[in-house]
Amino acid sequence: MAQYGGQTAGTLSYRESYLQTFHGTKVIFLEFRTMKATRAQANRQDRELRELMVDQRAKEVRHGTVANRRRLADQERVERSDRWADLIRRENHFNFIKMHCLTHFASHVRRFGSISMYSAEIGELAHKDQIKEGYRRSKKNEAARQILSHYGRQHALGIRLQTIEALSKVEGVIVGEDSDMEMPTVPSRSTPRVVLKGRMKNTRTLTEICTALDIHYSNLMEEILRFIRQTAADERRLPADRAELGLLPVEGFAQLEIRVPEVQETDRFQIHRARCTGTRAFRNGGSRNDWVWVQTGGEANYGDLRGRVVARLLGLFKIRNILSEAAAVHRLALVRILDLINGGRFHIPSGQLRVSNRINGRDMPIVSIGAVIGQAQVIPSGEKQWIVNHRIDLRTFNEIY
Amino acid sequence: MLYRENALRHEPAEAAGIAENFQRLGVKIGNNLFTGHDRVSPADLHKADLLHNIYLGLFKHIMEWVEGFLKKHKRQQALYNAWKESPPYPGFSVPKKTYREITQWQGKEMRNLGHCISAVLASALRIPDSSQY
Repeated sequence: MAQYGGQTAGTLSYRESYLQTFHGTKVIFLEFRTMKATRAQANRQDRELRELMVDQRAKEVRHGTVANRRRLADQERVERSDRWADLIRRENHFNFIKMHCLTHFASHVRRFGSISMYSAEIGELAHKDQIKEGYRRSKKNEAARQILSHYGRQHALGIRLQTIEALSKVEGVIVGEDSDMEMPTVPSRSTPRVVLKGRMKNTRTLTEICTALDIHYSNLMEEILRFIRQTAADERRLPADRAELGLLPVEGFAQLEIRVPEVQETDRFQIHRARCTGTRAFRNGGSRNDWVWVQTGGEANYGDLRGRVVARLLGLFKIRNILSEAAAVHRLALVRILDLINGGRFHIPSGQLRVSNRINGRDMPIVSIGAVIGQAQVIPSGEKQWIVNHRIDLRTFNEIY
Repeated sequence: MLYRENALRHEPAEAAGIAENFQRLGVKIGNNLFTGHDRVSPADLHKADLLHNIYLGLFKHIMEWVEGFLKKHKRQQALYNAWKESPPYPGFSVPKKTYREITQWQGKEMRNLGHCISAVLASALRIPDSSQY
């Protein structure tokens, strides 16, 4: 909650309630919160007790059997362990300054603004960018002035670039800097939300696509035909004949670039680059087929996921319908969709959403790339099951709750 | 209002009560470097710091407790495995080393771990046996 760029009364009250929950449940970890001094004290007490027990045993007349002596030793061991645990439990506490500081966060936000504004991380990074980088580029002789001018120059250029970018966003109008004239320009096309990138070699036909993705040709054809049957019957539609479909030009891609709006921002976007290399290696490593969110239903579907499902990208390609006059291009994604456990609702005890491999029905449909709304992160949890990490960023945290 | 002006508002009896209260808590009252300067308020100098208070401070402590907890229940390796298998995500660097191999946790790495610790921990604690309920 502290990461929000802008805090409201609502986010602060959430923060307070999460903090209360933390304080209410932190006692589970009390036995692991042992300070060095406490551990030393416990060890000292244990040593003294052991010595005392040895002395007592030496004074007693040895007339017991082996079994008796063993039972006595066990009792002593249990007593020492209990005493050790008692002391640890008695001495451990959560009364330290960093824990106390959390209580001041809300008042600091109210007085000074968002916490991220005065994080020491900014200062530490600035030391690297402004001082160390400036010194590296200086003549190393009377470097102070050169460091200052280097950063001033970089900063001025950065501001200049931001100004140009902001002006270019004003669609159709660029304001001249030195005059009050407004210059009309050619209206720019709006940037598409999802773009295919990284053209793959030797993927010009569906057969070659199948080879690159290691998928059986008839399976892929079946899925494409099913996709075609779901689309509107207009001139853009792909032919529903297998032979005709097999002749159409195709291009395979390895990356899907998705513009995802940043949380609390209206005109800033984060670029998600979902990779899909099929069986091919990605940067000298293994193959990469990323997890994505696919919007397949309305807001009322799939419980807390609100119409979206988790899927693995298996293939990306575009196919041009040269047999029609419109010669429409279809940009498609082959995905493996996961089933939602508990109907897409949170598992209350763990507070997590779980997904699993689909057992029944089709799990490998073809969707338009427009249905892919962003990257997802799922953590493996046992055999063919995953936990949806809905705390990976603020946007996902706000959309899935 | 400045700290000094603020402090002057207290009546002597009230100030003595405050001093006594702090003494009971074991906190020593003293003047720091910034006390007495014009237009400087020492009480306002302290700001909540995400890097040192949360990522490198409290979160580091919490990870020690979590490790102790998992060690007790023999689930430590499950946490390391789940963390190593975290898939890529924008703003999240896929761990290249195992958890034990990282000797020095920096702010960025801690933040990285913070983004996935909840799901990783849930994965490590799956299917508890009868003694772990």
